[in-house]
Amino acid sequence: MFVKILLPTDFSPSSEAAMRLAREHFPAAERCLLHVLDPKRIANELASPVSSKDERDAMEREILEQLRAVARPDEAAVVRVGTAVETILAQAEGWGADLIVMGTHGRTGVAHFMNGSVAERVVRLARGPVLITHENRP
Amino acid sequence: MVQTPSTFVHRLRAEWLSNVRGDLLAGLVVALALIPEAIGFSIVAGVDPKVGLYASFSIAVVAAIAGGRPAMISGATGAMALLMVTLVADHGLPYLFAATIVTGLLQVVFGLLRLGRYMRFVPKAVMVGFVNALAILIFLAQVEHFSGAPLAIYPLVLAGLAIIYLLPRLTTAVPAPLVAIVALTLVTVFAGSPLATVGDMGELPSALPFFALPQVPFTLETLTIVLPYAFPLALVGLIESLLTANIVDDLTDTESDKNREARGQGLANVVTGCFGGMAGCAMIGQSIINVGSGARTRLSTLVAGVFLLAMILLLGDLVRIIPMGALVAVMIMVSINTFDWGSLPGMLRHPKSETIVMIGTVGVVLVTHNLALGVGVGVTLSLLFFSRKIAKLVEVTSHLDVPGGTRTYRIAGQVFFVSTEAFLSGFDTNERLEEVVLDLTAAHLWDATAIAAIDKLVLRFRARGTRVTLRGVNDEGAALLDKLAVHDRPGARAGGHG
Repeated sequence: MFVKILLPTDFSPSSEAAMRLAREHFPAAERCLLHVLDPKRIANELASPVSSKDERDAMEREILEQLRAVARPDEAAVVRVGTAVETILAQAEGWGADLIVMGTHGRTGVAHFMNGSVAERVVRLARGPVLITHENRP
Repeated sequence: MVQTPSTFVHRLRAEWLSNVRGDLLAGLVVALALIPEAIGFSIVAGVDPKVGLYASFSIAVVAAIAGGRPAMISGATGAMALLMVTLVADHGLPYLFAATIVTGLLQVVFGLLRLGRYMRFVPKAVMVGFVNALAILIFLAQVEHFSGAPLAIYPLVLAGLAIIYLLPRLTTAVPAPLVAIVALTLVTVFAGSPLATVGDMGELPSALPFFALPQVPFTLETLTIVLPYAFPLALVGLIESLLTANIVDDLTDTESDKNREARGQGLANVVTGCFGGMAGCAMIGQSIINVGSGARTRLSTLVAGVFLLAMILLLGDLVRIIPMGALVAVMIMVSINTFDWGSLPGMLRHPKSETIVMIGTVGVVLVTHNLALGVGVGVTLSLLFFSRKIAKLVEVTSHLDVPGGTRTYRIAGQVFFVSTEAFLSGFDTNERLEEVVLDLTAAHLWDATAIAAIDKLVLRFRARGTRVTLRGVNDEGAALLDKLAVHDRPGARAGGHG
């Protein structure tokens, strides 16, 4: 039985599907929603270089709000800055997750080459089991 | 610190190879964006484009290896270029190379002395003034390209800006500044325009840079010519580099080694001076572009430098025909990116003193073209405002037990050279009393002026025949009183000093 489940989410339909899946099948497990804020996004939305710390904090707060809005009251919500794959793995390790449940966009061709698949690399590099779901799962 | 081989290899991998795809791509984007900047800043400094291009190459490569902040971009910069204009004009290129080497040596010394931590003595308002002044200067440096140029330069620059700002709404697959440069170059070449091109600005690199010590006499006289330039260059280089390192720290939510960065910048400038480049430092705008393009490690900086030189050498003949109008458009974008736009609405919210500091910093830089001077004035203004604010926090209250008996003065706050006047105005030394108690439990005596003020009070009360007792002086204050107070020494008289 899995008791601690990490749910990385980027607010896409596929991560929502992953969340539904986890809640449905592991209702008794402790669940933690994680959003990884990529420094790319912070850099590209930066208006005031001197106040970069304030802007990052504001962005983190905003995303935490969004995350809390989709989280159930018994689920934890965490926002961390970093590159998606490394940060997901670090959070899973640090928090002691025994299962990662996440969505995949199912991009192919050029889009897959450019963006890779975060889910794919998490599967390859994670020490524990990973459950992947597609957005068009019923 | 001794590192075991395995942690060393682990760190090396993390700092160079943990994000290869993102770093290669970002390095390429930055290399393309560096070309117009390196040429533009060479022109600002009054030297051939090759001086700035060689500098951006060697500074990027050395800083990638020796710097303290992975994913930060360093190269020839506007802040530094502006400081060397008169040196180049009055003494020529060899002295610029010598100044670059001395700048680097100074920075290495600053790094070894661990001066990085004093960065926090530069208040935020001064930093905002710094980037805003820098942005305005970069912009103003573009204005001269319009004077005397054919009218066609106006639509050219406008078209360039339109591409730079509108293209990202359609696609972000290719860097918009690069598209602007290519498109405008094609237009001017096919239209056979008479507008100035990069080739008209001076010599471009045709070979790899080579090692050569600057052709200057190694005498004290050379040093006296070079040092007045090298000192502000070293200072401004470190301020911009450490500020940029902070920005990258904030964006990536990671820490960096500021003293290693100072030493790395120094080493980069020493090497650059020996290879025919101008002094440079970290670049705020380019580093943000680098992180925004997915860079995380040192690899991105190295790749940016190497790509930059490779492209110049391979595509030199194409770079030569780029119209200056296209570069002007890119440089206007750089100045817009550097400006702290958040500081404008901030002026309404922040205390007036901070706005004065910010505008003061900008004003001094615009008049003198010297960012070091601007920072100096900004820090001084901040200290003045700060000490005035602290001085207001000194408070003197008192109560009297019986008329003509004992009055206890309670002093709370900081007593120092700025606050002594407010402190003294809290006492009535003309009152006829038996005893006065000065209760300093909640106060701190900071300096000789504070002790002199205590002396003055004690002696004035005593002159009226009032007994004076000091109470609650903390250890530091007691030590100062012991050393400096004269009221218990023979011959001390009221008004004797003061």
